[in-house]
Amino acid sequence: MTRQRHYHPLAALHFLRKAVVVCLLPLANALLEFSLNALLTALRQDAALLLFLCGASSILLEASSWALDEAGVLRLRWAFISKRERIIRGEALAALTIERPLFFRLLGASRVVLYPVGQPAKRAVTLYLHKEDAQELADRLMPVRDPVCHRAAGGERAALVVLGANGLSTLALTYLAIRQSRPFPLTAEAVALSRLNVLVRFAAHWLPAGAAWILVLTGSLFGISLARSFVQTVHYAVWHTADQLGSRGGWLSRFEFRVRSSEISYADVRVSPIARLMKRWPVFVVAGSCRPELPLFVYRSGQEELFRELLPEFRMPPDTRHDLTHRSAVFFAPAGIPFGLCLLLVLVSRSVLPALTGTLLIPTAVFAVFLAGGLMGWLKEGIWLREGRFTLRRQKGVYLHCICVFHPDVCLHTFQSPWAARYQRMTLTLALPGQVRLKVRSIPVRDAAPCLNALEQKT
Amino acid sequence: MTEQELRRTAVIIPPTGRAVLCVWAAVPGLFAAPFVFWQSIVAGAGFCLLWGFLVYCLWARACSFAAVLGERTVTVYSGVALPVRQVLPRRAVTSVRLLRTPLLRLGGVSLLIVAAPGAKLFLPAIPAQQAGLLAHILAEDAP
Repeated sequence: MTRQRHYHPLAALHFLRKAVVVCLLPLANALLEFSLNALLTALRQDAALLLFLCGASSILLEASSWALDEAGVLRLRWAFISKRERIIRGEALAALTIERPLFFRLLGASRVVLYPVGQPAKRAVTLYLHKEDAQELADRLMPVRDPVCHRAAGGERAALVVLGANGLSTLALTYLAIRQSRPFPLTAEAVALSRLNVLVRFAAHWLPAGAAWILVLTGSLFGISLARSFVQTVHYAVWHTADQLGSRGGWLSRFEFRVRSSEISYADVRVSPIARLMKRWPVFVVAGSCRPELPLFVYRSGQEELFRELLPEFRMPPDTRHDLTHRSAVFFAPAGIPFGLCLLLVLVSRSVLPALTGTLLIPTAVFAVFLAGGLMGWLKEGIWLREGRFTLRRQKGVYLHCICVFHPDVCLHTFQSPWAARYQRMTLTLALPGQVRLKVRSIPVRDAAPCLNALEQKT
Repeated sequence: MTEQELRRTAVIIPPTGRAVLCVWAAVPGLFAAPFVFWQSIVAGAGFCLLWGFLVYCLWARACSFAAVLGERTVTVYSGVALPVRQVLPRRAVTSVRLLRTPLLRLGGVSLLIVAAPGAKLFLPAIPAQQAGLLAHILAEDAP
């Protein structure tokens, strides 16, 4: 058996981050009393609390340790007052991730998350380790043997194009917002008007400027998100071995993802408006409770060789529709209700406060986009059996998920409301290992029946 | 009873089992009722009516409950107004738990909980003999 090793001090910082909220309590008391003496007392109390928390953190670091034996069995130990040991076998892992954000890299640490087979996300094990320890642990628990690597071509360029377009549009919006934000001429003449009139004019003047700044903020946030995606696509590589799939990449923040092929629950081709625009389709892989926020790989239309090589068993849901007669309007409810309200406000504002109409058009347009997403779901959501596998399309916001289920142990759950029962429709939920659920809404009973029967006939 | 016999029939909740379930459901209401009556008689009466209706709904749902053991699956049907069907592959079963409280023992029934990595099946107050056999069969299937 290998020696006992301790976690990286960042593990203690992780604990401290949660516990440091307690230090705010004395400060809140000082704020209520609002005196220098109270502040000094609060600072003294905070110092004592911090000292206590640091002591607790050092005990936490000393008392917890890990060891990896020759057979690739990980033992996580706790020895303070009581002794506890958790044993995790490498074969019992569905996936693991290694994350190294910039802060972690500066301190030489890595965050390793282990996802045991079939366990929910709360049972996943998060470890803060030294960089070398993390790599050794990953290589022993899920060794990569004879990998076939692929480097994403053109992904960085595509991300840069979108990022550049976003940067230009945000700059244009900022210019507009600055133009809208001219000072309000609160002259003596204006003040001479009634108070209410001043307030209305004030609102009419500033609300469009506010809307413009909201757009700038949204554009900036979208830009930050795109920039984050871009730095993650740098040095991106995906590989497969006989029993494993994996990817690694990142520039400032690095990550690595390894998944056991036999434990993949499903693969998901996520169709978004940007993906449609760029004709590039991200493929996400879910194993157990591991649902990475990054795609395993991205492929271009007409260039599916990589897709076939990595996931040869994937079958796209057929391009047919279920019967749409009497299909539930539940698809339109989440976006339709706020869209209706905003539209009503726009109509009212045109006669009451025309300056506000432009501002109100922004949320109306946003909800209209989501409503279009709902329409897409209404038209395309469904489940089909293809070569003995469940394939399904489901809509979430503006995304359309094209899913192929790989795991054989799928539990099904059907539900019918009285209205659905009247029109012979039902909601079908697939429950997969790791308590991952996939719901397909308002499908005809006759289309769901083959899926229900397939479980009984599956070998 | 053998597996073949069990597969030819559906497991339902017998009247004694339904009574046990109703007793369980009534207990929190009986506990809370004095506090509601303390506020006002009308509120107490309303609360009792509401709780009684909920217990009735549970009884009706228990009447519609049926579990069917197939060659490769266990299927549970329940509900009339809001019908629900749960299908769990037998090979996916990871654990089976059998619970018998004094009240369940008195009614000659058991509570069976079947767990799979993605879902859990609750078979409340089914006849003890069938529950035991079902647990035995599913435990044999478990990896």
